[in-house]
Amino acid sequence: MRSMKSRDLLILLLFVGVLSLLPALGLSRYVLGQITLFILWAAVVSQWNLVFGVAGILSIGHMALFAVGGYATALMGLYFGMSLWWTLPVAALAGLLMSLVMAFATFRLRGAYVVVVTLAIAMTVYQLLVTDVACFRQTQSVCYSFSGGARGLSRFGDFGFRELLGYSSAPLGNFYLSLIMLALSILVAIMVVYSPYGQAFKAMRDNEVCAASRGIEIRKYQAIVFAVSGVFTGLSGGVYAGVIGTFGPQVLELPTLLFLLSMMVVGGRGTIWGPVVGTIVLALIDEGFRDLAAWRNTAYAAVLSIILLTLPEGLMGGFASLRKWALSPRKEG
Amino acid sequence: MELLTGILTSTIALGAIYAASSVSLALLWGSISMLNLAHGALIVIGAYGSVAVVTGLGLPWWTGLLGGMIAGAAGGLLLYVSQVRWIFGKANFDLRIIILTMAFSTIVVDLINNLIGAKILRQPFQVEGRFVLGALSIGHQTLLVVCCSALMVLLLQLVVHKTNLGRLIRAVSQDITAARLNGVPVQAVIFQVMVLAGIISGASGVLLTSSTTVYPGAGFDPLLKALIVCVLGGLGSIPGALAASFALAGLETTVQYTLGVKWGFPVSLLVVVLVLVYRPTGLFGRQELERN
Repeated sequence: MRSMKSRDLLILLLFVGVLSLLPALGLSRYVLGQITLFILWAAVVSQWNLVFGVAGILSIGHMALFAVGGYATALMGLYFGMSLWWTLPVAALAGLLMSLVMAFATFRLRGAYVVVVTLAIAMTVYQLLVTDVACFRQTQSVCYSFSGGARGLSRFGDFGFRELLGYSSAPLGNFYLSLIMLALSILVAIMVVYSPYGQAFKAMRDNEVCAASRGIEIRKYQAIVFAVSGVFTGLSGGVYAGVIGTFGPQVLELPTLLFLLSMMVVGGRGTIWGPVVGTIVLALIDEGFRDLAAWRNTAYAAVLSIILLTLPEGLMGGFASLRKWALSPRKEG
Repeated sequence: MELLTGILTSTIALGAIYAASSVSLALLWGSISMLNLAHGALIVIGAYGSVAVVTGLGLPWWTGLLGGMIAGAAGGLLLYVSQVRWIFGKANFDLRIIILTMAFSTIVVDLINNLIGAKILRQPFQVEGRFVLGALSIGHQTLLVVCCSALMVLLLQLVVHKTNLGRLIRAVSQDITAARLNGVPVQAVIFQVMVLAGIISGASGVLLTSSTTVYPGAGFDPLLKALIVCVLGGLGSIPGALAASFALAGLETTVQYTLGVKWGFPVSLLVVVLVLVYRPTGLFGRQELERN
């Protein structure tokens, strides 16, 4: 157990080390921006995976936690002119509150009921955002609503890398900030999976009745896993808003949901490295379909379907069974 | 008084539409434990089927419903052939089919967007005129939709309770292993259930879009509503879905008339969540016993 944990920590160190050297390759601004974006997605999916994969709570409304974090940062930057660094704790808090709403709504529910209720909550947040058209502030002749409505928010400030590092190096600042966010996210995932909580989650997922009869308080653990994931998902939302510079209801739309779900499922849900592997695969597909943007979603959906039909535990699960097969002693023929 | 009759007629019209579109979800969950997130895709396929038959081929308006049924059946067939038959009964079927059907609906919406175009079309399944009785005034269109929905739900109940197929469906839903041991051709039954669900979804797509418009994403909102209805009624229970349809329609119209259109869905969701906190399997759902 302990050696597994140190192994994963070592992999994390190596992985972050390799990624941090990437800018030295002299990548173009576009490529660096794409890598930054996918690093942030990987951070989100790792946290989602704690709820969905590790604890087995089938919440597919997880982007709502991300959205409230991002909106918290964007709104505070816009209306109070705060440095976005100071808004990050609020983003984490917003994610926490939203996750507790989700946890409360799904406390006694199971399986498909959880899927429906979490999806409905996320879509309600989406519809409330999109239908927010009441005039809140006016600049010249244009009228903006409080949350920016369907257009979303922009020009709410950034992390100040432009002043600190100069215009041409600002993307580097965003890149390393995102990398820190990913490292933090995976570190939290490792800590949770190898903690006694992680064991309880696995027990809950594999056999809830047995876990309960062994004295595992299911609701307490559900609330804890939701809360942890909520804090770091909200934080990722805040970082995303500051790095990308705009934030809108699009993060709650179905294509985004399917995209992130594909990362988790293709890589292997419930494993620490599955979301990372899945993100790399999806990033490659995304790049491959750059000129065929209209078919991008079809490509994700097709890859997701093929994986689910052939390797239900994702690529990580496929690796694991391949290794098991290769290492198993065979009968002498 | 005017407000009250307004709320009442809207409730009946909306409830009938909810009922028509949620029974097919209830049928699939009740018989093979499949949460069909491609329901929205089947609705859209049905809506376009009707447009193709009436606007495209120039047949009379009422054939639109048949066109929707045929297109929906084809959609259900496709869903069975491409996904369900490969993983039914395998590990984690219930979770895998949720994600797979979500992927299926993404592909369908993308195909329509790219091949037919995102243009908003008019649903030709329409009649003109109003029916007036004293203070009451109902559009013929509303009456038509309510009657079609009622007929469809009634026919489905007849199929499930009075036919041989219904008997097989009920056998499969009670215990698949026992059904198989008693000679029920499980895969064939699932195939028929999927086609039946496709027909209902397709027809409900025609009815739903007759009061709105036809566009590639038209199925998502009805899907969400149908999911909420089924969860409130208890997943898999057709009577539960019917009761929940009218309860939610009533709540939603009342809220829309009093607080504003925007709050209809959020308030009904809140009520559903509160109900589920006290009754985790919905109003009519059964607590499922799992063998460990």
